[in-house]
Amino acid sequence: MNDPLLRIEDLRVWFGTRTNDVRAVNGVDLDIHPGEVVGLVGESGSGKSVTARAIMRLVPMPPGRLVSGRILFDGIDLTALPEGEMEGLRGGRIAMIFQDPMTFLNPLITAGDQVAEAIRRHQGLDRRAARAEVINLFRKVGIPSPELRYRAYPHQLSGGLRQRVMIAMALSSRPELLIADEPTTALDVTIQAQILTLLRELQQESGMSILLITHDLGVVAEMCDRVAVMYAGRIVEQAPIDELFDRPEHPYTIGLMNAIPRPDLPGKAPQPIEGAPPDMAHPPTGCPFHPRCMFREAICVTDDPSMIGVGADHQSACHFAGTDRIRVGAPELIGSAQR
Amino acid sequence: MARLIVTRLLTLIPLMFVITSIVFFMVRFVPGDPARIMVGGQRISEQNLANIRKAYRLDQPLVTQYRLWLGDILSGNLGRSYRQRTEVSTLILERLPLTAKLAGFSFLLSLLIAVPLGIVAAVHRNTWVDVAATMFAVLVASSPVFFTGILLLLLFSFRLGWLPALGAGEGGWDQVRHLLLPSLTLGLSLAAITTRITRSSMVEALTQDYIETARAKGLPTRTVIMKHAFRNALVPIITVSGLLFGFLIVGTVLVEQTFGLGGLGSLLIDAVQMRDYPVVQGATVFIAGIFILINLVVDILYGIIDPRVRYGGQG
Ligand SMILES: Nc1ncnc2c1ncn2[C@@H]1O[C@H](COP(=O)(O)OP(=O)(O)O)[C@@H](O)[C@H]1O
Ligand SMILES: [Mg+2]
Repeated sequence: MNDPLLRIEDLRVWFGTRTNDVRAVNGVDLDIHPGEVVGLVGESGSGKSVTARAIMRLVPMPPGRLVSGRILFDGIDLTALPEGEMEGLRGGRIAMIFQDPMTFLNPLITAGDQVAEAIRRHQGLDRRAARAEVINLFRKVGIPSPELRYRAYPHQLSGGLRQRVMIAMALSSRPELLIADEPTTALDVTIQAQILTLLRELQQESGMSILLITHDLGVVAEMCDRVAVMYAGRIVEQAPIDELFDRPEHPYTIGLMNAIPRPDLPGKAPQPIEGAPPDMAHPPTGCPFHPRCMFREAICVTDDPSMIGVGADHQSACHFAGTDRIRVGAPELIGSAQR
Repeated sequence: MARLIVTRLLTLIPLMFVITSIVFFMVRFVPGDPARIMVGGQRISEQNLANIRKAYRLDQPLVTQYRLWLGDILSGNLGRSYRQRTEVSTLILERLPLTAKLAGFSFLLSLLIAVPLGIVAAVHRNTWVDVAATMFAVLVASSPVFFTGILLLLLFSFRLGWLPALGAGEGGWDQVRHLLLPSLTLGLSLAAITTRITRSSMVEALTQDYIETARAKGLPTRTVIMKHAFRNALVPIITVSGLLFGFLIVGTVLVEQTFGLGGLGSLLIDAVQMRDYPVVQGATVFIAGIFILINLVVDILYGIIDPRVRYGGQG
């Protein structure tokens, strides 16, 4: 395969004091190739947003700090880049959209001006040219009467329109990588579907890569080429989308799948994973998932499993990955998952 | 927006009425006979005193005095001073320019000190810069105005000899030089409060989500701070500045005393000491009127800054 656009190596971002660190991101390895849509899934608190912000270098430091790792974007190590150059990349070659389009737009500036600001910053257009470009973008992301919406303030727009404004802002500089941190979580179901469709269309048209963060496997199934499952600050399983749904190789992934409501299987109620994610100030010994794992053995309590290949481009960090043990544990899932 | 201003007026005008009425009765409950004070220490017959009281309606029952006074005020007549035999409005207008300059300079200086300091403290929160700014604010805020004033006098006039100590000076530049220390004194004590507010509203604004969007756009830190955070922090800063106007008035009175300036403050103090009721009342009505005006300006500024105020709609 060709070189990845983004390569994250052993990323660790911890928060707090040296004596009581919250290990929010604790050894993430992840590649994103040009034109690829990669899903990053995991329960709330697993470190997805911190990973995304680390790529953008938006993690507040302090209290955060980079304990180890490199983030290579097109061969450039972002962790070592001078701030001025990083500013040039942000909103330029790498763009980001966020969860709640209400709170992430400035209430005092019109929607159009907020997008124009990004355009002027990265393309050096003058006011009028930037304005025309914003109207174009608004049209492209499906905002009706764009001239009118240009002058609207965020509180005068619906949630769906606000997210389209955010998308227009992010796409204004034709980024190579778009990081979308739960872009539809705050929206109604029907609007969610529209926004996802829009993102998919824009991606196919531009060929950009997307890192799509979500806790919703349904969204992943619809959007992604490849999935990385995150738990307790690291990636515990990674696979192409069909492979993951057909043959999950980590108990946590299986747990996430069992937690999805399945209207197509009436007899099967969703089963949430028992327990809660670990306190990352005091992570458990061995495998971080062992306290909640239905396949737990003695080795899980003592030894931390590393990622092992279990198929083409498929890895899992479980002592029993690739063995029958896991497959027997998830019989209903096989062949009947979302896809 | 227009509705907001009307509502404001409807609440503030009765308030103004209540305040001035309270002042009307309070000056009269303070012991001391204006007629006797008016003639100074001179021996004078009871008959003459009675004549004076009659001339100034002081012989009437309190309620009648009040009614007459209200009638005068509503027809725009603030009355005549007992002592100076001049219209109160003339006295006020004579003294107003100096006090207005003093208040204006003080306010300007306070913003010039407080806003940058508050912003820097917020941006570097929980570092030594922040601690230093907080210490400054607490220290100055807890010093009485005359104390700060005397310290500044000792330093800049007596020790360094850079600035004049007393009086208002004459003509443009001389007056600026004379007003610098009084304004700095008052400006510093205002700045103490404004610094705290600027810091806290900037900290609040800087932790909002839209700041992250601004940074994610690649905007330089300066733009993020000034364009995105500061504009949002302005509303509380303006609110407090409006409220500080009352503080500013009290401050000018104290500072005028400390620096021997003949402004509105000393007019008021003298009038209270001399039981010159019309001047006390007139000055109070005047100050209350300005207070209402400032409040209106604050409301209009809200509308200019915040479209949610301008257009209504959910917050
Ligand atoms: N600014 C911060 N200061 C301290 N802790 C933080 C900060 N941001 C995130 N964390 C911690 O990092 C962990 C992971 O958070 P996050 O990446 O937001 O999770 P996710 O996006 O997967 O829900 C959480 O435990 C959170 O408390
Ligand atoms: Mg998150």
